[in-house]
Amino acid sequence: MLDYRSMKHTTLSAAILVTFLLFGVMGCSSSQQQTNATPASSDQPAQAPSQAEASSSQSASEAPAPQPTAPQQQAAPSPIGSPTVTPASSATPGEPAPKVPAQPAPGTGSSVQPAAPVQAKVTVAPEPGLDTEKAPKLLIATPQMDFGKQPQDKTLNRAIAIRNTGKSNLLIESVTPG
Amino acid sequence: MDFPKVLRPGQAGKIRIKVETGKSPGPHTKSVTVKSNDPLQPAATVQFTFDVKGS
Repeated sequence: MLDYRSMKHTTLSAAILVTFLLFGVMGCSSSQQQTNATPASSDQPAQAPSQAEASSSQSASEAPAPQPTAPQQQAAPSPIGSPTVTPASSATPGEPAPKVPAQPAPGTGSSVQPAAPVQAKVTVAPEPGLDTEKAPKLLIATPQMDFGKQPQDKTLNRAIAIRNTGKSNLLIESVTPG
Repeated sequence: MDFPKVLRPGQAGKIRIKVETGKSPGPHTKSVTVKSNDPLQPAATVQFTFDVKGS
């Protein structure tokens, strides 16, 4: 059992190393991904059995048959079937560790900086509002008036009702047509 | 035009206007602009319409 586990471990680690090498090559040039993927996948099964044979020679002779067969079945799907999954799970302690602090650091920095000026703007806004509470306010009762049908060349005398609803004197500066 | 110069808080007033209908028949639209020291509405517009009948 211990030999079987150690051999399984070695084959898995070999597969992980191969995937790392694959991703390293893929990271250098994306155009060479397909060309590198095919020889790498062909190398992986070749390495897996070689290691399996090496480990099988080291292990006891009690169960030589199940040991090579079992690693071959496990080693074959792990590098080929899940090249993207194995580096993600095994590489999390190594590679994403720098990525995780790198993403929150700019995110938190950018989110905190705009939050402060927004609060500053909100505090500035009420200041003119206090002045308008005591200011005069002109209220026009009828901003639109309809005089109906009228004859030609007639002078209409009308009145527009206004009121000061503010809390200080309303000064009417001018009333101009247009 | 006749209008009050100062309105105390709560006080009402009237702006008296004169409109010449003219000779051209049909609908007409005119307006008057009232400028005051209201900080929120320094210039208020009153619009009035009328329809001149043809001869």
